[in-house]
Amino acid sequence: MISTQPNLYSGKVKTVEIVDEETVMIHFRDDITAGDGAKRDSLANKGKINCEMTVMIFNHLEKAGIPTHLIKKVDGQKILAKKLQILPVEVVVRNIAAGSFCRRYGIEEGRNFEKPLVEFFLKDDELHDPLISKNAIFALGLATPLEVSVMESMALRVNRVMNDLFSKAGMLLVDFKIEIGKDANGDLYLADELSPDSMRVWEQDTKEKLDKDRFRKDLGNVIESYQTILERLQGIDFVPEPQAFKVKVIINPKKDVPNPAGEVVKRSLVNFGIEGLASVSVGKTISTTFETELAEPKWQEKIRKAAHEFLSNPLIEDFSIEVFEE
Amino acid sequence: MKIGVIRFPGTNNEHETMRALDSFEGVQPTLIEHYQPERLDDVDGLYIPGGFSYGDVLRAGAIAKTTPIMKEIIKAVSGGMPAIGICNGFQILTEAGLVKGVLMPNRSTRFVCKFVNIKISENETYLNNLAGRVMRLPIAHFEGNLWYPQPESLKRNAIAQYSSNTGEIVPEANPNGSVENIAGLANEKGTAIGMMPHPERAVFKYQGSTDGRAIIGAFLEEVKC
Repeated sequence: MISTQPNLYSGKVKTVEIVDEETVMIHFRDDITAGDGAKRDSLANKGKINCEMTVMIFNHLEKAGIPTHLIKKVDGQKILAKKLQILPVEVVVRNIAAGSFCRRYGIEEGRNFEKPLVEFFLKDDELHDPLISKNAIFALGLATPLEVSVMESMALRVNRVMNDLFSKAGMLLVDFKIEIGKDANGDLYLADELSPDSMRVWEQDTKEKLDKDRFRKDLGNVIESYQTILERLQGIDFVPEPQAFKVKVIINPKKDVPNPAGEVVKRSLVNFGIEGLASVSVGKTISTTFETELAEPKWQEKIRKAAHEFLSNPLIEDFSIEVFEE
Repeated sequence: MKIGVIRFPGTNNEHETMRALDSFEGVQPTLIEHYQPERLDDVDGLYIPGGFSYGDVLRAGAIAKTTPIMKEIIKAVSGGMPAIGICNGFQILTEAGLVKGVLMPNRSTRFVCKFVNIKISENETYLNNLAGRVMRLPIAHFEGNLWYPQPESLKRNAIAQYSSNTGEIVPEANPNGSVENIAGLANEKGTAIGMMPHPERAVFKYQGSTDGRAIIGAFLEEVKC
């Protein structure tokens, strides 16, 4: 983002104004760009439509128990949001193959994935937002394993709610991109926007493209199509399903502590023809399910305390925390 | 003198403990349920008997330490009330951090139920008059394998070690793999003691040993003071 005023940051299609230590104002402009800004235009009403759709979807997601940065809508194309440190990794969920995925792997657009596919991309315009592996995220220190597990789970939960929403409105959610930010406590929130700029949406029956691909591929009627998506989503009676939030604590014996159970299991594994074992260690996993992530604010701090003081015995055990999806 | 015998769900040594305490002159044992923390105010000493509190879920003693009565027990012990935890009671004391260490599954991974010999260590607790004595007491546990990252530093808190019948601290006498053969530990003040062997099961002749009387007697003397 390019800074024009000390507290004003202008991105490709949005402007962020820092209001105070905890809040920002996000202005959805009418600009539209593609190919990292190589192609650009301005479409009347686009900011308003994207703002409205983001607010509508984020409200649904909050009702489903997914924490978002949205505080409230301010006017036609502005929202007040939590000030967050945006993680430098974007998360993409794909239900149907399209876009860069097809180019990368040389496959036809339109292949349905058996399970939604989550991909991570480094946020870096100069490098053209390259795909990034989890190991590279850890190696570069961009996010911790726990944060990445939250991001992945959040993306899948958002996908379930949005899939439900779009299919009820007769549309196919092909893929979408989200950004995630963290507050001073380290809690993660869905940030940025969810609009036809950040997702692919097809007509359910005809597979006609309704999203920003109309702009990318010069298919015409861009803003009309954006407006149609918004109206159709607004036109249905939608009650989002609460999205369960699952956290597991994995407890393992410390390396230098004797593990009698592991030694006995090791001896018994010989009966299965396994003889090359240097050591076996037996730990445990405690899997918890919250009704939703929003049901337990500051869960990280609380789970970590419980894991340290109760679920594990720090004298003999180490633990790690992970968010997971079935 | 009133001794509170604490019962958690799964505690199963409370009756023999009550009977043993009852056999001492002037002692009035009273059973305190885990949901009666306020009753700690009415007693002079605490006996946390063995069993399988909360089914030994997670780790032996781990659930008990999260209960409200444990907060009160910690408060009472920190305030100087004499306490003794036997077997699961010892496991609860370690989990609650009242004594050091952790009781892991026995080295053999077998439940051990037999008479053992212990030698009372040189100590600065209410057992100090018994130092050097060799006693025959029963054990019955799966998690009695005391472990601590710096075992040497644990020795000064030890109140007894597994020994031969003549008092030699030898590996063969160690029934569970405990570091330094340690069978019991005290807190820094010496007012709270935890041990795996069961003194309350060695009080009457018909139990096969009466060596436990000396330990319970010393505990009661401390309470009297």
